[in-house]
Amino acid sequence: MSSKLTSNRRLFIGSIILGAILFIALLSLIWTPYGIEDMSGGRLSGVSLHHLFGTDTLGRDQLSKLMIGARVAVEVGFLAVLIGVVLGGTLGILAGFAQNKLDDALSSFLDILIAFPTLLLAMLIVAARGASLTSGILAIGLGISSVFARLTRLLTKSILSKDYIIASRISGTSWPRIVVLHILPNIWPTLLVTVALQFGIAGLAEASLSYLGLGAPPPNESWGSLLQQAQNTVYTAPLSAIVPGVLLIILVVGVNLLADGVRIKFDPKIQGQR
Amino acid sequence: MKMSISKNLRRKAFAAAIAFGVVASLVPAAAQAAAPTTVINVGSLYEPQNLDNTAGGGQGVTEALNGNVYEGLFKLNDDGSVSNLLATGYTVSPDGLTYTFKLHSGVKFASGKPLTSADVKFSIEKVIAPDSLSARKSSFGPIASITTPDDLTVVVTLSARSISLIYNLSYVWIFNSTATDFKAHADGTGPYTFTNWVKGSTLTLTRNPSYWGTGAKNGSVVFHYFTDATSLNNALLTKEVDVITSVQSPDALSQFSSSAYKINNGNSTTKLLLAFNDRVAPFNNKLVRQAVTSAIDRKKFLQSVWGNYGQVTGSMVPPKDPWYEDLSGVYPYNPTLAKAELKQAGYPNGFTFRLDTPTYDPHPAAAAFIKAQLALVGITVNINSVTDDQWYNNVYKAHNFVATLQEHVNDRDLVWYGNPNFYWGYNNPAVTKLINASEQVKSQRTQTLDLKKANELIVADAASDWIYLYPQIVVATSNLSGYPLNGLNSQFYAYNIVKA
Amino acid sequence: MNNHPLLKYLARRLLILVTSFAAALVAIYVLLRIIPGDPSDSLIPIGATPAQILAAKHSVGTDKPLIDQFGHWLSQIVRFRFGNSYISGSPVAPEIFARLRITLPLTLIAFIVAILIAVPVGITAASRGQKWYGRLLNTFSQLGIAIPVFWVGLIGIYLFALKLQILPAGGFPANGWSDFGGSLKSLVLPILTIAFVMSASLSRYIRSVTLDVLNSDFLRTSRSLGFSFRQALWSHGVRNAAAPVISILGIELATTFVGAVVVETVFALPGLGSLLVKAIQENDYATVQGVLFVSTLIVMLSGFAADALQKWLDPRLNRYANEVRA
Repeated sequence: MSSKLTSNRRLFIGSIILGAILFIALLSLIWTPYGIEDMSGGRLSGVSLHHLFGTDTLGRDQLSKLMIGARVAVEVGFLAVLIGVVLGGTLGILAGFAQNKLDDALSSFLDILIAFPTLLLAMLIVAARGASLTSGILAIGLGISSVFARLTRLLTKSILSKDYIIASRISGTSWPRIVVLHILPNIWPTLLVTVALQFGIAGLAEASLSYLGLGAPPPNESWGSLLQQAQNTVYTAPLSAIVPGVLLIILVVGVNLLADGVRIKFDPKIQGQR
Repeated sequence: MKMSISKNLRRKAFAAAIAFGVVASLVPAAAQAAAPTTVINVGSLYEPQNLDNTAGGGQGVTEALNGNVYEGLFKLNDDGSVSNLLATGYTVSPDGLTYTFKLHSGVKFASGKPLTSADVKFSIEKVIAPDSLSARKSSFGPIASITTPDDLTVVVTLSARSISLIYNLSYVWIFNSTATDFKAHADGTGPYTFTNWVKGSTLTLTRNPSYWGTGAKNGSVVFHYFTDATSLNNALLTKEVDVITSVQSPDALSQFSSSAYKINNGNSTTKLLLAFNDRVAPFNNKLVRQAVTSAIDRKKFLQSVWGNYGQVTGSMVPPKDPWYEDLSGVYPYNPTLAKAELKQAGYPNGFTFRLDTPTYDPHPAAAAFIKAQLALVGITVNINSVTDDQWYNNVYKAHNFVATLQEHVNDRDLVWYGNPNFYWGYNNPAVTKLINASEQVKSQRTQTLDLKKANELIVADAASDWIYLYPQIVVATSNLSGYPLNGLNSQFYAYNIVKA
Repeated sequence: MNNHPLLKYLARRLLILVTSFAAALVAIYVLLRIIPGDPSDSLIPIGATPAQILAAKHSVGTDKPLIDQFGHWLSQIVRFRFGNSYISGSPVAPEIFARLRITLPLTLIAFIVAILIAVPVGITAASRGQKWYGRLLNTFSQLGIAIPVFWVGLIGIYLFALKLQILPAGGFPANGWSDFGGSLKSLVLPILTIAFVMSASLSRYIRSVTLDVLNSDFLRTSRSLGFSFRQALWSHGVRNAAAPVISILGIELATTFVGAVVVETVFALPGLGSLLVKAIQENDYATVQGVLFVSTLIVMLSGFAADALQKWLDPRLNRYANEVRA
């Protein structure tokens, strides 16, 4: 059916994009056209055979910087989302089990947590430990965890209210077993979709942090940092201000397509449209 | 008969016409001399923190209020010279310990209160008070007492000679001694009155019609504050501001290359330093400091950040200081020599050190550049990004660092190398002696000679690596004139600015 | 329909609201003082003597023991006194209100514009998903959520301010709202920037919810019972779907208040977000606490309002039988 084709097409395109970026990221660990400290390229030299994307004001090769940016994007996305899922998921499942007053209090608490601006968190973390990749990852990870906490709480509650859970409890199954046997298997498709979406959001959040000067210093410059650096030279070297942004867009679109494809594949309700 | 009468008449008519013409030409001039109404919009990145330069107002308060709202006994001109302002003149006793200042009569604060010597005494004491946060407080250490024999005379008695007293006094704003809140209000004697401050946005000054001197040539000045350089540039491009007090990068200048704008390349007093902690290894070893200085190509870095602007001075002294000399040739770029010196110092395989780097431009780029250059001679640099606060607490107060990058804004700040407790810990008794003595000499010429000698010693010791002097690039619309071109300590006198 | 359960529920929620608000305020107070740094740091010039450093601490009161400071803060905050900024010495409250006069219109109008765009786009993308324009809208919203917000702002400035010169590139008039025309012009691009990004993500959410509604059991059931499509859509579709949408909207609105700081930086607007950022950088605790007081209050109030609205629309909220969408 058309839906299957569409789902497969989305999965396909999304995987290709993500795969390409992952490949470049991994490649950058062992090889880039030039070292990050190689400043031999001449100031803002344009596109050439030696430098496919030109050089920056210090003479560093832009292509190498872009490749490293891919690695940083993957690192930030992966680690921040990991923190989010583990921390937020655990909190959320626990909150899902809460009843009445405790439940109300926790849901208020979670709402405040979600509304606490990630930016503010990032600034406080940077004030405490300085601007670095780790500070950014921590801040974004904490911000994402509140999203996952809220999500898993709702999902957990939804599952717990089902009849077969109540039956299971009556027959003596312990809570941890219920979590492992019933909750986790049922929530992982939705979680996976959210993971993919938050991966892209983490990348965008890091770009905003870099724009405000809170991003990682060299050699861990992200695409967002490159965009921020390129602002001054946008008239003499417009490519440097366009390419990192386009790459960021491609990453997020790719990840979102993947998320869509996964959701269509695994959600039984949607089989039959789109 | 008739002709002579008409000739007479004609002559009278002619005289009358001339008289009328003269009067007529005076009328528009008089009308022009009556209040100008132009609004000058100035774009800046440096917003004041508060309105009091003795209570932490910051760089921005000097830019907005110095010379515009507040005046001192003397004023620092754009070319670095000092001239009389509120003081008509002064006399010094032969032993150099008693200064007598005479004030202008008829000067009033914006609130209407007349200026008296009591205000001057109050203002100087405000700077040297125990709770004063003025950067100039320590320079007034020699002041023993201030007396006011009459309303227009101030006598300052010193415990030791101080050749820089007059220059230092140009930084002392004369406050209204009867006012109370100096952080949020400003009542000064200057050509402008402080009108309004919308924090995070604009600060407005209005021409003071009852100013004691030559009035401002424009009607009001509005400072517009931005937090990033691109928005600042955009404001000039869309003519929301008429002038930018200092452009932050040369690449942005290509946007202003049309004839609608004028780019001015002046001198600033801001230096970018690679400051070693001269107390700890490896930088307590002069040979190592020399090696590192020789391993960094400062000219190349200056060009990468500023293109053809700015200059490498090779020392802490900017060109507008009287004791300036170009010492950039003392340690030219020579990586081979650097490697040899490292070997001689006992580091044949180089070493590793942490470089504490502020997060704002151009420090991250400088750190990356230094890291790359030093890698070529075997030295590994670990870049540690620090916030302003961390820098202040760890580097400046606790001296807990090995090397750091920092920009220093003031002029005449060579004297910090005479203080072994300053954050970089440079301790050369000969230099300290020279610097302390230079303050107590009898003539400016001797002071200049002494400080030149001190500077040469400091540079020879490679106490720090002075990477470059920032240019002062003022960009304005081409119909604007009369704005200052050099950024001495960030002051920006606005009273001569006119729009053609 | 008896409202007593609703009122009881709301009263209970209010109590929890107030308690968590108080807890949040204390948490913020403690958090700020754990982070290294002191308000007096920003006031010290380079070349300061140790005596001046101590004097600065004394001027902001941080030389007193923490307990004393906390007691003082407590006594002030219960009377809603925010005190003075440690850095500028001016009172915090008027500063916050001045900033709100920009941030409130900016956020609210952007929000309304975003909803006006997102709802029709989302519904069309869902119901006409097979048609070319449905797919186009879908693609646009896919792209819209992938672009960094400062990029959108920069592109807007480039087009409308620098090239076409019809809008200012940033800043806000010196006389504030008394220059009504100028103020409006200054807000057009920032509003469009925020609305663009917000509507992209909102439209995706609305599309997803619409799809659920179109395929839900409730809809099928009510149609089989004889209701017209429209009736069924409203009474069973929208009311069921409204609950999560409203709560999402509530949170989105609240986070934009302080989250608009990136837009405020790009357009040099003196809003609440940039005040917060500056205050944090300067360790101006009084201002940070004041801003967070206001923003947390707004978050809670909008959460509360969203809750009340949901409950009123669908009293069966405690049944989590609906689909949950990420």
